[in-house]
Amino acid sequence: MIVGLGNELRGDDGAGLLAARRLRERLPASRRPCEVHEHTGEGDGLLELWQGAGATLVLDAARTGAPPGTVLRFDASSGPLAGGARGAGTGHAIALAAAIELARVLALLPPRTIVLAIEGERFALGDALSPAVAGGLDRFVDAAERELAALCSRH
Amino acid sequence: MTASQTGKTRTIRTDYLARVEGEGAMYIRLDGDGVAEVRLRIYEPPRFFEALLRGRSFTEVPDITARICGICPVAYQMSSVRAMEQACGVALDQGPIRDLRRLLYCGEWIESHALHIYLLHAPDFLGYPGFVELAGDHPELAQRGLQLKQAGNALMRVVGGREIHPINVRVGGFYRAPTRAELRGLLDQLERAREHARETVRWVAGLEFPEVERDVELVALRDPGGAYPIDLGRIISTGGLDVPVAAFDEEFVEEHVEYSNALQGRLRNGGTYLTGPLARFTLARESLWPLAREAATEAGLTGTCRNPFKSIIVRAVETLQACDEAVALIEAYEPPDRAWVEVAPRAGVGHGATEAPRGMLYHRYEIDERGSILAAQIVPPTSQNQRAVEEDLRAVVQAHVELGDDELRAVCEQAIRNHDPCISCATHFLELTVERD
Repeated sequence: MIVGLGNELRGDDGAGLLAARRLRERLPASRRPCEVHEHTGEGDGLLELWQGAGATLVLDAARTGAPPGTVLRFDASSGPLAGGARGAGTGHAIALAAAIELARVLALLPPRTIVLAIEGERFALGDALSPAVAGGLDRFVDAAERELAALCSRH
Repeated sequence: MTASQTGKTRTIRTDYLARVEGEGAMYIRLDGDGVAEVRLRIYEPPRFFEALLRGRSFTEVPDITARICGICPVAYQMSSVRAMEQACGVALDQGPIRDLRRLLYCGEWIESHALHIYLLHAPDFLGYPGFVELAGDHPELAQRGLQLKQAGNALMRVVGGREIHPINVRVGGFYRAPTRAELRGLLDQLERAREHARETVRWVAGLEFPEVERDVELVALRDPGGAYPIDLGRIISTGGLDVPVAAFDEEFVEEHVEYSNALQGRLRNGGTYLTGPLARFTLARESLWPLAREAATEAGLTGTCRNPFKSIIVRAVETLQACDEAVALIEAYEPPDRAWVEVAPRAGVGHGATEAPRGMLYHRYEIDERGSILAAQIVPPTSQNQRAVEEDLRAVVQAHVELGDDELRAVCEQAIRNHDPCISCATHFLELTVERD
């Protein structure tokens, strides 16, 4: 399963959604049967989506302090993302890192879960994609395709 | 710090309160054993929705105001469309469109209450820093909470078009009515949710509650048809108020306090009032359906409920009511011939109030003959409840003055979460400071 996360109204935050769409276009050529979902990233919805899922590739935007456009890889199967459980119900939403930890303790985390994220720069409402993310999107999708191939070969 | 330090200033501060929506702070200063000052400071920046609505079309209000809140967008949509319909001389107080609106609202209540009971409030009662830690030790409990919330999400998705910021609501009704089959497809999930809600009432009734009784005036809507207050009604109170929604500004005022970005509500006579679950239950307990009423009685809630810590029980009872109503509405559902009625603009003023999960939400609009908005007023429940929350804190601190700082901070945070404040709505919200003299 591929899950692209984000909000296209918030500049680089929509990069995960854009990458998922591009990856969906490439899938027929790769002949890999794979569901592609676009999602807001709201945690309990993700838990619902992950029920019974096999290997899962999550595509998102990140803000870690790395140079904008950098593609980051997190193996959620082996440990928590930065932030971890702290984002569970801090407000009225469950963040991705917290959703992963919640899924882990409830035994709902897909057997193999990889998060690929592109470092963003602009996240304000109404922003366009930053040049760094727009320019790095192809690299992001290429990395996602390689990750998908690796996930499929292992799964 | 302990009670042995009586006579000194004591300050406890939390700069950012977790498990509430938005950004806010609390400041408490104790002078000896007395509470000298309590401030609930909402510092999230103002968002100016009322100003940005001016000049927009009357048809845009449900979609624009839904964006004020991700957890109670239906409340904003319902209060706004009712206000616009009143301004235009249209009343949809009964019939299939009203039923569908109530069904959508049930979805929001289930979703919001399940979130608050399990993810935000339960960790306080069970002694966990958050929901993930709670889920690790009580996975069945966590699963039940998530499944309840997901049932609410599903209802929002099918009736509202999507679960956050629904897109199917319009002035006059809906863009599209769901088919019978689409709604019937939710029945199994909602029947399970009803069972979960029943179990939730039993579970929360067994929690430990501080003994606190608040003598604040309780305000809620009263449904003219005898339904539990959700989507329409007159404004009533435990102080004898019984007025139409259009009289809101005659009875209540909002005022600015220098330390907060949210306006604070009060009764025009100067008194403090509270809206939300305690008010609804106290004023409309007899309107609950038998299942929810019996569950409330079994949980020890009879007559009134004035202990804010027990709001978690009332939320569970209301979740059960919403599940029960949703099942009944779906079983009786016949799609309307048309999902909306025509609403032609005319110059005028309209008022709308509905019961958001955390309390009454009032909207007022003035429009011109073409339907362009001239003025907008939105009074969310968290603004109205802010003063009552501060008074709660004062009472809670006074009753627990012997506690050390960390324990006092914890009980104060819990006291704030009793009201499920949505600072994002009030302009958003929390940081906590307690000073002891």
